Amino acid sequence: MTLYITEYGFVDDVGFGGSRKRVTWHEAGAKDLFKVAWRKVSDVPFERFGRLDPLSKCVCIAVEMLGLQPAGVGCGHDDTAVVLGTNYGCLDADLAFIRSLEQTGGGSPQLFTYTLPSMAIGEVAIRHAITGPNLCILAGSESPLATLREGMGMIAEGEASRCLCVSAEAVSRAAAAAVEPDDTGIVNALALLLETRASAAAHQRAWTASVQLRHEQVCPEGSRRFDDLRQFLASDDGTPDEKICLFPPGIPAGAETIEIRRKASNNG
Amino acid sequence: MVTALGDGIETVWSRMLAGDGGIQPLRRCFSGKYRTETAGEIPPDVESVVCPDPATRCFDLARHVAGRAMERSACNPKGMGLVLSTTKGEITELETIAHNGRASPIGRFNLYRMARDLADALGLDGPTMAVSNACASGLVAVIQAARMVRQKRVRAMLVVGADILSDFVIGGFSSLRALSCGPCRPYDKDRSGLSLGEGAGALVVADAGAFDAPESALIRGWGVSNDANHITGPSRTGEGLKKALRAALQMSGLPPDAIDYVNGHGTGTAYNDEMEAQAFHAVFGDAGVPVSSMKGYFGHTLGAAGVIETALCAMVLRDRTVPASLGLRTPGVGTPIRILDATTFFAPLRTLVTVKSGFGGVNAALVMTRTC
Repeated sequence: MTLYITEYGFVDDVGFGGSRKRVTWHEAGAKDLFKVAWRKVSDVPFERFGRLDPLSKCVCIAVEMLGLQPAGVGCGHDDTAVVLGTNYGCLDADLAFIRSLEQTGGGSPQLFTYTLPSMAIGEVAIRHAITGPNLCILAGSESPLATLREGMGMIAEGEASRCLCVSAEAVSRAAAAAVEPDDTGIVNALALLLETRASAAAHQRAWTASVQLRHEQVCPEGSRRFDDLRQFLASDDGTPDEKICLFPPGIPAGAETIEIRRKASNNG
Repeated sequence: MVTALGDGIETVWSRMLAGDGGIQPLRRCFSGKYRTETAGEIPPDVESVVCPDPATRCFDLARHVAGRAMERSACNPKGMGLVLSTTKGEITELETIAHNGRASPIGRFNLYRMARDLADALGLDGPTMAVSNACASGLVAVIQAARMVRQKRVRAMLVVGADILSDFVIGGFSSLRALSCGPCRPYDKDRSGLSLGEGAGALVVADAGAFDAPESALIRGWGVSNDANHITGPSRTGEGLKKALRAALQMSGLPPDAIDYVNGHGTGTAYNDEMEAQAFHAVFGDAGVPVSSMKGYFGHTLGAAGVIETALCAMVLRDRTVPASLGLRTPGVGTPIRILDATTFFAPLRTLVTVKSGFGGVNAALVMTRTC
């Protein structure tokens, strides 16, 4: 089964963007993700944004770059799945809630709500009226690749005709220092809109790259670095029909390969 | 499995059939001022043997039930994968980070690390992941395992669900005013909130025919959906759960009237139980399919709930016996559904559906059938 990446969005320590625009944190009038105001991200209001935890903010910004319809505008994305992969989850929210428990003896309900990583999926679902299946997975450093593999699995199973595959980490400098002594904070996200050809046509979206699962060793030099995919998609001077290969997590290298091929200049 | 009713699925099941409730006054001392004094705690005699060390309590529980599931299934761990379902995992480690500014060397505040350590301890070398989809985590994890096995990505998956009580969890639900003062009363007119529980469960998902144990069951279909409605509250009309149920039925190829029993999420909160009643009535109609919740026996075990209750649903199918919705006195949901107030033997019981819902709007449904 061949699937298609029709949009992508990203967040990193420099800024955020996608196929339509790229904005640095400086251009957005913020030092980083933790300080950015939603109006610098999108013209479509998001009143709840300031209340979200860092992970949810990171996910919502990356997904906003895909150019999906906000809820209430057009039809609901009934046949869209969301898979979120993360390693650290909502560590900042966890620590903030523990401190609120100790300070007040009762804890903040607002903070508690965001101590589950899947809340980021809920926020995306509400904002874009997405009612398809959800999956929030934590697979360590391979979480990003796992989101792509599981999104492919859901579409193959007929549970959805398209999937938002989102990997995200949003850990503040203070929280990162507690868990990774050499770390200075982690902010990154990559959101992919993965679709069947019929779904892409129905939503009038051109595709950027095709995605195919191969069970033979098509690329012995395949990568487990999901970041390679982001660079591949975001490259301004990519060669048409160029491909990269990714190895899904937990599978011996080469037993399964996700082959991603850039659109050739003359195909549709 | 381990729950407030004891250690081992036969123990838990027999106590449920006897009508025993494990939700009791809190035994351990929690530091905050919370809106409840009861919960489904693991009994002290089980705790002292299975998980005596507070620093590794959740992992030890998970390791205990996972080891037992592997023994009972007699599966070869080589090539098997593992899905850990939990909401907060080894939560004491988070508290350590908050207090000391440093994580412990064990590092199981990270849910994947806990899953990886479990897999390594059991010799499982297939795909390993943690699933954290709020209170539906356990059922979503079972579904994820079934998806991977069905797609022949792995021969068999061990699904482990575990969550423990802590100030974090009790304080959180208390702050949301979601807790019942006494034992929860799912679907009752006077229900006033949920009772928290703790525990762990494990089960093996493999190709049909891999097992012939009487407590094995066939997974026929599943559905997962999102309400896209409210971040903590369920849809008032049950639209998301209806969608998950219909997707599960469609995948199973079964009509709604083939379902003999609905194992509800049944938390005992006003909105959840009302939402479920609307969804059950919309999908199953006026046929009177029996509905009950297991939360009254051992509380809401959060990330473990879907795994523990799926395993117990296999016992429902084995014994053709549906446990009563413990705590029910007067049915009190606005939509008419048949809630069981007594444990009942149904000779023709062959197929059931279990459902779970959670914060973030997630809903999951799984259709299971007797294997013989």
